Amino acid sequence: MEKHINIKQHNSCGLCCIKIKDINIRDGKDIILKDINIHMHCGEITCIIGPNGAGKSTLLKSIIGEIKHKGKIEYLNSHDNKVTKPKIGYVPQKVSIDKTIPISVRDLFNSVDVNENYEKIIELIEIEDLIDKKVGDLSGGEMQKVLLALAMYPFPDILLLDEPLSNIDEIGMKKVYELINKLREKCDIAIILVSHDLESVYKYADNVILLNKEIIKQGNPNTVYRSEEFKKIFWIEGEANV
Amino acid sequence: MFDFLEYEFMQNTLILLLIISPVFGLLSTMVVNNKLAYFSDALGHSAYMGIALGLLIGMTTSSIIPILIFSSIFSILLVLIKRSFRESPDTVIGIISSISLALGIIILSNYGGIQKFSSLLVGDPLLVDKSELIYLLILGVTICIIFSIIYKKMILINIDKSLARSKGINPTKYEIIFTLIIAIAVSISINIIGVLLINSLFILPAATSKNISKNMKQYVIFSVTISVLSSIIGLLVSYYFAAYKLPTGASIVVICGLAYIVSLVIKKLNR
Repeated sequence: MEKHINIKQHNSCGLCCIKIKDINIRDGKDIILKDINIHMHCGEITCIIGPNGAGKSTLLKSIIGEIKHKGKIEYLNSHDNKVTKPKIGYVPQKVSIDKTIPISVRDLFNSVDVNENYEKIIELIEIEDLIDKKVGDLSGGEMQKVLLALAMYPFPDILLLDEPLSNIDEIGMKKVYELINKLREKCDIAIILVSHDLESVYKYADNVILLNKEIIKQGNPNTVYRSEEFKKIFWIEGEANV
Repeated sequence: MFDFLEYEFMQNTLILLLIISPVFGLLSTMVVNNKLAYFSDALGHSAYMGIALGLLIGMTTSSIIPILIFSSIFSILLVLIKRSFRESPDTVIGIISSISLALGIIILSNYGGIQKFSSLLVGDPLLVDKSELIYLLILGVTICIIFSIIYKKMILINIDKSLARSKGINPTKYEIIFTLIIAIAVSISINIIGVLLINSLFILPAATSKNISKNMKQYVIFSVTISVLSSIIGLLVSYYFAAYKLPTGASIVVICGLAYIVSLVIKKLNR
């Protein structure tokens, strides 16, 4: 039986919206990202797919403010459409921590400067049994669950996941996808997921963005996967497995 | 047992070690976490450049101000070059350290050669003056306060810089603050511990502690405890076995090294 979890939800509605407007990033003369416009609502999973070097991770890093960019990111809440700075949760692709350092999972949560209780997040992500384990002793799947829980603390308006499943096995991958889907349904947050797993993207995404330095195609999974642009990028390389 | 406290220089040395050893214990946890072992070593070497610059502007060789200023510039340059040019920290540290040491040697050649400044190599805690203890205490307490403020943020930066950034933490700012407090710690203790040994006090307490700790709280507490106990035992060993000519700084490092070996055995037994 699924546990009842009373996570503070942010006025679930699908009315809150996130607008990523005219993001442009250059490195000298090289264009890294050009005219990126994304409009998404809470409770939606937007998946970004594209070839290596397309700028997928760069886009996420510009959203969290790590990479300088032109353009802006707006968050409009459901009450009065007031634009505020969104709280962002971020799950990196992998972390390169020295496994011998005695940092426990609890230490990670305690290191976030927030006056909120993290017990509910831990229950939601089902990592109660990992809380006193050393980070270096976690398996790839356990680590991704911990990073997902950490991204949810404090409760974010947008959750960004940068290929969070690239270092875990198939069973672990399925569990994490189910968790992401659960977060969308229970917590009604907007999720942006960068992934190479086209099959899961097709299954879980509400919107798909095909990126290759600029947005080549966007829409629901059916629209994007049937497009000529998608075929050109993935099928020529023989990678499409959908 | 406490007859060594009858001598004023021993009292001063004990107070000095009680001030600087907790600082080394604290900082060493983050030095080890952030793989900055080479940085504290390089800061020690570049102290020669600090002394050289001090001499050029007419300061005395014992003044820590020029060393402090140069170490601070080194720290800021390290973080900024690493960030702006995406260079590996080891490469940047190696480059700045070699250039500053070479320039230091060139300048010091005009002031009697580097041999004249060889006392900096091994240092001597027994030479500390009572008047210096107050400012060492102020700097030591300041470092501990800054460390306690940035400690949690450094854990997240250590895990992943982008993750830290998503929590509103500016990694560059905190890395600069952290390297600056290491620079201050090196500057205030270089004359006491010496260039050759200072790095070991930045590594051994945390390296020992991590073998026997289960979380960050234990890691920090054990690291500080090991640093303080090794310093006091090292001082006592050098005093009571004076006939064997055991320099205090080296004795402290050897005790720290023994503690590390014991921690390895404990780690092996706990597996």
